[in-house]
Parts: sequence; structure tokens; C-alpha cells
Amino acid sequence: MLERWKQSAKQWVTGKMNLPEDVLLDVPRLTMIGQLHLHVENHRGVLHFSKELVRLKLSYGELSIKGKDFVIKTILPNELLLEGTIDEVRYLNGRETGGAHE
Amino acid sequence: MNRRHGPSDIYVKLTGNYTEAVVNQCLREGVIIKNITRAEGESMECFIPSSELSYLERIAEESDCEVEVLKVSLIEKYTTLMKKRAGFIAGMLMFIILLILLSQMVWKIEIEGAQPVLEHNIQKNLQDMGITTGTFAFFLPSPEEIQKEILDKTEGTTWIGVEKRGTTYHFEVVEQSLPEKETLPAPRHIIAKKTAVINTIYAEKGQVLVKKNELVHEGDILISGFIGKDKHARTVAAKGEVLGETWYKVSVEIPMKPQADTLTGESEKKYFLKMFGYELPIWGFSAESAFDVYKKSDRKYDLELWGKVFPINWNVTTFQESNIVNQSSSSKETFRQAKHAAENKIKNRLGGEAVIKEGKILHEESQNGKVKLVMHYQVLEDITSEAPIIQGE
Repeated sequence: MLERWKQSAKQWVTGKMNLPEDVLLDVPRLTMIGQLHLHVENHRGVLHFSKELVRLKLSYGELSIKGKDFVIKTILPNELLLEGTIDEVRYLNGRETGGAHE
Repeated sequence: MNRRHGPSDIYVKLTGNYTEAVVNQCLREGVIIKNITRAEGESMECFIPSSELSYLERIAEESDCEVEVLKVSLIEKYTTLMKKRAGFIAGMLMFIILLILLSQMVWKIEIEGAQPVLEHNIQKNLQDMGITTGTFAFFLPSPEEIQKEILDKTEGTTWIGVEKRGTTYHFEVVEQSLPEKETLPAPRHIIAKKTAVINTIYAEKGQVLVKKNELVHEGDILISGFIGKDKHARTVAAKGEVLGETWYKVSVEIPMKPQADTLTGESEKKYFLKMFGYELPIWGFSAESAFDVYKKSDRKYDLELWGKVFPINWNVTTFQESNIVNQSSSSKETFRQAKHAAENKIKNRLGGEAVIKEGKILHEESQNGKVKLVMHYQVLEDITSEAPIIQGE
């Protein structure tokens, strides 16, 4: 109840004060350069990594990236640079799957 | 951003059930992983700094994974290589050390501007100070100190400049030059060079034998080298200056109407090449016949190479048209010119220090278009000459 109220308050503040959403809200910021690179900020860890699929844990839900020949170029606590041929980026909300323990 | 991996990074392989957990744990603990790729099956390959290998191994163990090092880091690779080629590396280091040491050695000592004797002295003093070829420059004092010390030690020098040029010490010596002692001339008389009337006498040494306005002939003793009387008598080198009045007779003859060449300004040039004595005309074939009266001047350009003169030369002959003009002048003018010519003639004969006291016209005549002038000059000049006294007379 309090969580949800806090979240809506944050949303209201960012909307009113014209702030970039990723500053206050705990949402990821994705920068994509063509199909070659994907730069993800504010992730919460790697759930799955293979050449064709990468799943990243986020504060709310998870991010699924599909493509070919994935290489994690750099990985830092909040940042991740993925290289390869990116076909699809998709948010998966709801219950976590994949059986990951953080 | 896209840097591959540093020189200290190693390439490792992670094998296990769930390698993502290892990656997450690494993130949490601050172990930097780069270039993660999925290999066949459940394994994962990545680069990590070699210093963090132990952390990775611990984390992997916690998640039941295995770590295998596939490639050692570049630094490790080269250190093993260097260990293998230890002799070669040692030789290289030896060479560099030797080069530095040899470049710090004194290889040459140059001494400039000193006489051989003084140079030898300076060399000996330098040796005493320890400055010889083969010593190391960093053991020696600075050039300024060397300069001070060597200047104190060496006698007979005014200044020694010390300069270090690479491996050479350069000494520039300025020798002390003491005034040379004048050698005493042998005893002598001062005698007259020619017949004259004495005008002034100034004797520095010796006994004056003549008076002013006295007529002396060639060979007469003017200042005697014998001085003193009786037992004090001795001979000295007489020295002095005697000016005497002498006479000269000069006759000159100049034409009343002198001829002069004047150039009209017109000129023609003839060019030709001269080879082995043969002339090969190049240009200006008709130059010679262009004028009736001309002045001819030649210029020759030799072909010279490395100090050798070739038997080929380039010649330019210039023909300048000229007029012969008869200059008419008054007898007064001619006379003035004649006098001037006579004066020049006497001045040439006398040389520098003599003074013309008076000039008189002895004879003047104009005949057949010519002026003949005879002048008489009274001249003041030095009439001294030296005559040695032969001892034991």
C-alpha cells in the first residue's frame, strides 16, 4: 500500500517537475546503436546469458533480449554493454521466471 | 568503451550449472569481468584482471563452478619469454649500461692556443688534478671549478677557458705575453747619408759632433758613439734624428696641346670561344669593322673545375668608338700643369717623411709646342745612416 503510494508520488513529481524519468524512478535506461550495441543502465543482474538470449533482472520485472552472437563487453554493478546482432528487446512484467536466485 | 582487454587481463573459462550466478556475484563484489561469451554447453568465457583470479575462484566454488585459465596475461607471457631469453635481455641491459658509462667517460682533452711547453705543463697539472682520458666525468668537478684550479696552478697564462663538449674537455689558453726585452744594438755612429745643411739635431744617445746650419758631406759622423773622456770613455749605439736641408733639381717637359681619347658611347661586342688556341666566333662578326677609331678591351672567362683550368675559354671583345680630341690650353695653364708634374716627381723620389721647404723655377722654356720646366727644390729630410764602430781600433 505504502510502496504503491510512494511510486505514484514519484511519478507525479517527475511529471510535474519535468525531470528525466530514470533519475527518480527506478527504471532502466536503454541506449541502442543500430542492431550492434545495447547499453543498459540500472539493471539488477543477469538471469540468463547465451548467444541468442539475454535476460536481465530489473527493479520491476525483467528484460529479455533476443538476437545472435551476444557478447557482454563490459558489466558493472549498474551498467551493461551488450554486443551482437539484436533482434528483439522485450519487457517481461509480472512474476519472475527462470528460477534465478539473485 | 570498446577496449578489448588490458595487458594484465587473463582469459578464463567458467564451467558449471548456472554461471550467471557467478557473474552476478562478481558484480556485487566488484570483480570486473569483460568480454563475456557463451561457449559450448554450460561454460562461459571471459577476461578478468589477473589480480582478481583468486576472488573469482572463491566465488565460483561457492556456486559449484570450475575456473580454468585459458590464456595468461600479456605481462605474464612476456615475463616468461624474458626468463627464457635471460641472456639476451642481460646483454641488452649490459649494452645500455656500457653505452651510458662510456658516454660519461672523458675521451679526449684538447688544449688550444698554448705553446708546446705550456701545453705540456697544463697537461701535467691536469693529470695531477685527475683529469685524464679514461676517467669518469661525474667524478670530476664542474668546468668552472676546474677552470679556477688550473688557472691557479699554471703559470704563464692569462686565462684558461674550460668547456665540456660531450666526452671532450676543451681548454682554451690565452698565454701571458710579456714585453720582449729589446736587444741592445751594437755600438755605432750616426753618419750623414748625403750632402746637406743641418737643420735640426736631436740626439738620444751619443755625442753630437755637428752644429746647426753646418754643411755636412756624405759619410760625415753626425752623432758619435764614443762618449766620456779618458778612463770613462766607452762606446754606445748612437741614436738620434737629424734633419738636413737637401737640394734637388727636377726637369719636366709637357706638350702644349695634349691629345685625349674620348669615347662616344657607341660600342659593339664580339663573342668567341677559344679552344686549344683556335678561335670560334659565336656572335658579333662585324663588330671589328663597325668603327674607324676604337678602343678595344678583352675579357676572358676561363672554365675552371675543381681548381683545374680547361683549355677552353669564353672571350668577349668590346669595341668602343672613340674620338681623338686635341685639347688646347693656355700657356699659363700648361705652366701650372708642368709645375704640378714636377712636384709629383720630387715627391715620388723622396718618399713619405720629407717636407718640401721651397721650390724655385730655374729655367722655363716653350719650344715646338712643348713646355720645358726646370725646378729647384729645397727639402727637409732625415739624413741619418748608421755606421758600426769596429772594436779594437
